[in-house]
Amino acid sequence: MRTVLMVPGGRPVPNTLVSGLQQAGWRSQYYQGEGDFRNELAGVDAVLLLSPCWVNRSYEFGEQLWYLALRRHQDDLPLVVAGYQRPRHTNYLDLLQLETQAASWWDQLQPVAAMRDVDYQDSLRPKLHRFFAGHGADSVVAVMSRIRLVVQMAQREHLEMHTPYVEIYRDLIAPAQLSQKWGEWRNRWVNYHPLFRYSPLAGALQAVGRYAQQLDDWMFNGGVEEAPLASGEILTILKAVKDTLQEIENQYVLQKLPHSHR
Amino acid sequence: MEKRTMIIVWSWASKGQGEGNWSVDGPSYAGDLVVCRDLQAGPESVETLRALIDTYQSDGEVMVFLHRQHGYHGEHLEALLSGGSTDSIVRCFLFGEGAGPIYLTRHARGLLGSSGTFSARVVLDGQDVVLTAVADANKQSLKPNHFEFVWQRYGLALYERTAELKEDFFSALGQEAEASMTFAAGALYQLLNQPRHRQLLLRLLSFVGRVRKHSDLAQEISTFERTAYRTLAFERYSAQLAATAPASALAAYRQLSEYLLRQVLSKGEAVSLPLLRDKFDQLLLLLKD
Repeated sequence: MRTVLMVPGGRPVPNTLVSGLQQAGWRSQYYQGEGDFRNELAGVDAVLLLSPCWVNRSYEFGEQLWYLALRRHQDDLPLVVAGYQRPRHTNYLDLLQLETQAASWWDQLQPVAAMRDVDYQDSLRPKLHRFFAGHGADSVVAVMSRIRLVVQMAQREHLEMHTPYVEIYRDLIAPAQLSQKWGEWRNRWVNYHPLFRYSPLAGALQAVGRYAQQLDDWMFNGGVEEAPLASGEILTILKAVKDTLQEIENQYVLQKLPHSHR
Repeated sequence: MEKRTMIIVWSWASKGQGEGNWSVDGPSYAGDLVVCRDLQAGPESVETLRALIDTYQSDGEVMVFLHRQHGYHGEHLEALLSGGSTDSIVRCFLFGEGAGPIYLTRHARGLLGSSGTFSARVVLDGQDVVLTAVADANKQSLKPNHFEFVWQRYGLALYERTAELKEDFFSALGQEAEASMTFAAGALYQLLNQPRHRQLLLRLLSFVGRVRKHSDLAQEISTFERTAYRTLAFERYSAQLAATAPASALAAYRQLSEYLLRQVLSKGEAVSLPLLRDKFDQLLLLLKD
């Protein structure tokens, strides 16, 4: 029996789809969106995305994000897009035609590597782009970099120059208004990250969220506490946040689509 | 770029910061404006609003938001949509019950906060945060991304809400054991009459213009909106289309609406779901253009 990784995207899975899959000899494994999404691809023969997904009280399309993820990590897998539109490509499953769908349809799925001229719908990728590059100097990455720079300088002053923390706080940390900057970053974060709950980057964003929670107390107190900075804990977490966001940006924002997809 | 004006009738004076005009921060938004008025519905308020629309429409686009709890309903909306003296577009919406992206409590890039203000305290990600659309209270200026978000979302409101109705409709039928591509005459109506599809049935009735103001059905939709935090009613859809979309969109709506009324919402004849989908898609295509 073959296995399909089902991404229901916050929507109920139609009964006819469940029974149709069973009849065609497939079992469904549901996407969890936790940890590294590649782990969820282990032992899977296809990915099935219900599109659009229902997230934050609106319908959003995330087909390109899935295409990009699979093309990079496992392009031998087929990406099946299921929805209530007229079929848009060979791997599009028209949910209104399921009862007449031959079981052999599932045997003719094309791997992602062969899907080069597909008009995948995506409303999430432009939002991800805005998340990273939007707001100019106030983008999530830019704000995070400024915070990290302050913390980096403060830590160096403390550990290498042995400057008393009270002075570092007065001269470097307090003027940086970390509490306010962190609040702004948090606001932007909570606006965006739930949108990607059903995307392949959900697990990575969850990791950023967990890191951010570890920073909340120190940041919202304006960095007044010496120990977390002196131990290097704050900078370590900030680096982890930066690295994770950088990886997401490289993979989903900066990665170019084949010409026909642009 | 044309100037953009939002006229928002809400509890500004009775509970909040007072009536007045708010600009939008930033040089790219010069001339954009949010006009705050606290007018109870009535013949005079329509006159006042009509005059305001004419003033701002003369050199730009206008969106009007009318608070239902101030007594506004579809007829006011239609009067404002149809009484324009220029060719430029005016969009008009009813809002209330805390539903829709205009509220900060529903979307962090919204505009309206608590009790006639542009700020709200909300819990996000377990954090108690204050969201505000105000850029500078002294200058009475608003943050551009909040203005832009609300303008864009409501600019696409007809498309988005029609697309949501289509998806929700087919999604709900997909859960039914007896779901099929075609339904015998009356069978789909019988199915939609089941209590589990009540909200969907009301939305369809509202879409085809069969929910009268102040009726029990209108009240029921309001109750659903309060719990779903979504705008579910379609107020004067054809008037909205006539005011903002090409004539072909209005024709496509009439075809879809007629099919829904005759085949889906009454005994009529057999219903073909693929055909119904095509009718939805045709309208959506024209709304997106």
